[in-house]
Amino acid sequence: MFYPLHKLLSGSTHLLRLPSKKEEKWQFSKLARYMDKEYQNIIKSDENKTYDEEKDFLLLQDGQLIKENLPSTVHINKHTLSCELEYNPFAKLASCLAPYPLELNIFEDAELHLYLDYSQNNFINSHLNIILQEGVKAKIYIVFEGGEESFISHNSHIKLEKNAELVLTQVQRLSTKAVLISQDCLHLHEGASVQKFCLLFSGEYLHHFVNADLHHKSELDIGALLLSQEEQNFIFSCDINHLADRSKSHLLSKQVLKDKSSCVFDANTKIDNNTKLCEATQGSHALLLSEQAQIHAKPHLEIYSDDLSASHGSTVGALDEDASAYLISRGISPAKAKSILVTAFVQETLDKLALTSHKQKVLEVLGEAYE
Amino acid sequence: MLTIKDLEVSIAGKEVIKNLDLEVKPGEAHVIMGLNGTGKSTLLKAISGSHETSAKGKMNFLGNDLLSMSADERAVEGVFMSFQNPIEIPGVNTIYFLKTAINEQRKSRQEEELSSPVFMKELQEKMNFLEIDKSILQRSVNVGFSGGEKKKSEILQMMMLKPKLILLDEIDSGLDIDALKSVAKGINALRDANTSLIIVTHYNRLLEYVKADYVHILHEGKIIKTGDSSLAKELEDRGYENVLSSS
Repeated sequence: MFYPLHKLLSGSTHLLRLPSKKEEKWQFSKLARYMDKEYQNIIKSDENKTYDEEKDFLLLQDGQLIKENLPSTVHINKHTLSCELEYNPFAKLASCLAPYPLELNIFEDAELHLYLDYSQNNFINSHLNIILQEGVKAKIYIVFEGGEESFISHNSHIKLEKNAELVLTQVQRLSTKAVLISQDCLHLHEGASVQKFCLLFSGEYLHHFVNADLHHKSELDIGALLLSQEEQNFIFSCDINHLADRSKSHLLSKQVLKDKSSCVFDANTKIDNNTKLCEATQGSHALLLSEQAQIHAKPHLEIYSDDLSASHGSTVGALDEDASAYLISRGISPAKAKSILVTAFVQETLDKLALTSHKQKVLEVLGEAYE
Repeated sequence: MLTIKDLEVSIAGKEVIKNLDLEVKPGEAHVIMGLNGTGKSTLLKAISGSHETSAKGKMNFLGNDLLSMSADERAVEGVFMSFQNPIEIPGVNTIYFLKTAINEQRKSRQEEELSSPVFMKELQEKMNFLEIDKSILQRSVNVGFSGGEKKKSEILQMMMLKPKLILLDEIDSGLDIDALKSVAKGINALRDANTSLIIVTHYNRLLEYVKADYVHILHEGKIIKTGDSSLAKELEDRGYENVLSSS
């Protein structure tokens, strides 16, 4: 029997707030408190559970298993990872529970659809290791699926060798009470580029971390869309490290919050000393559709170089009443006007979905959820 | 078509219109003139159902009690207001907005939605007629539009939506002569025995192109003088103070 940890977590996240200067690890400290007491118990009760690889790591395409369908140039390995998991305390504690981490080693251009179905498991910790070899271009669409009582900790370790290119789109279809804590560790070697889009909209509590190391002339472009309602709590955090010259990072997160939901945007972009001509932008824009919704935004730049271009910003606002009135004055119903304006607000983020097939899939997911 | 009796309108708790009566018959063009802050725009906003206004009294439009209807319901019934300062809506492109507005209205009237080819054909015709640059269709509504483009866009919307009662709030402000003629051409193209106009303006120049049946002077929230189009000319020649003192 598992503890209803997600209830404790979601009940506590309203306490999340902007940190004082003394609280550097603010959001994690809140989680850690519960982990110490409750999570340890889960681990204890789960010690003897035998993990079935096929259930824990399903790779499906349109509902069908695709493991055999992967091109021969994508090598599948199972091994023990030694990822740096310091940013995800859940993963750190639970790594011992995942004896079958999966590694995809991609040697030629590929388009993959990874369907990670966790709906049969109440508690799961998973690892996915993706390596793009030199010059390889890959497009990967990942769907997380979780059941009513799912508590998922997922860790992706993604390494791009020289001049590799990755388009990565992540969405989740979780039940209303599911919890997902996920982390992407991205390592971009010289000339590599990642275009990442993540959509957070389902589940009760989502915490998505991105840690990225950028080397010479590498480029990272992240678009995040958080759509929360009822009492959902979403946290999106990024740590981006510019380690070498001419590396670029662009981060844009948009949040639309309804009811009593809350979101946290916490990003830190660090430009190392001795780097030149790096570019970094950060943007967080929140649309609050109710008086009870809360957004906590903390865009942050940590700059140790003199020769760079960087900017960051955050906006929070309600729906533009004048714009709404203008649409309504043309015979458009208030509900439709609201829908048009919300769509317009998130459009900039959706435009980050460069790949038409991924964009179509994301729109389908959104359509199913909100129509 | 439109009968207004004992209308009182407030904005932000301040009473702007007091006991106003106005009757507009089908096909008529009424012009409202007056000093700044006398309630001209407020009157149009009250008729269109703007959320900024709070109105009391009677307002009957084609048998409907307008004051009991929401702004979108009034638009569906055929009320159209052209804004003095059209609102910019980033992220919503003009062509999508236009098609949505038309089809939402048609849906509310239980009419079939306009198909894309029919919509596009009509749109092209109207844009050519108004000499509007086609590039505005792909741009966000009113975002980055020049003053003239905004006003022409309002007229384009009006022509596409085919309203019965047209409210024009200073449609002539900020327009050069060519744009003014183009806007007037659009207004006149819609005029017929079943379409009425209420125009708020400060100048007589629009009335050189759009024939007015009545000119009203609004002062401190009330219509204090009504005349034909010569009244607008008289106001322009002599000024409000002289005209009002002589009456």
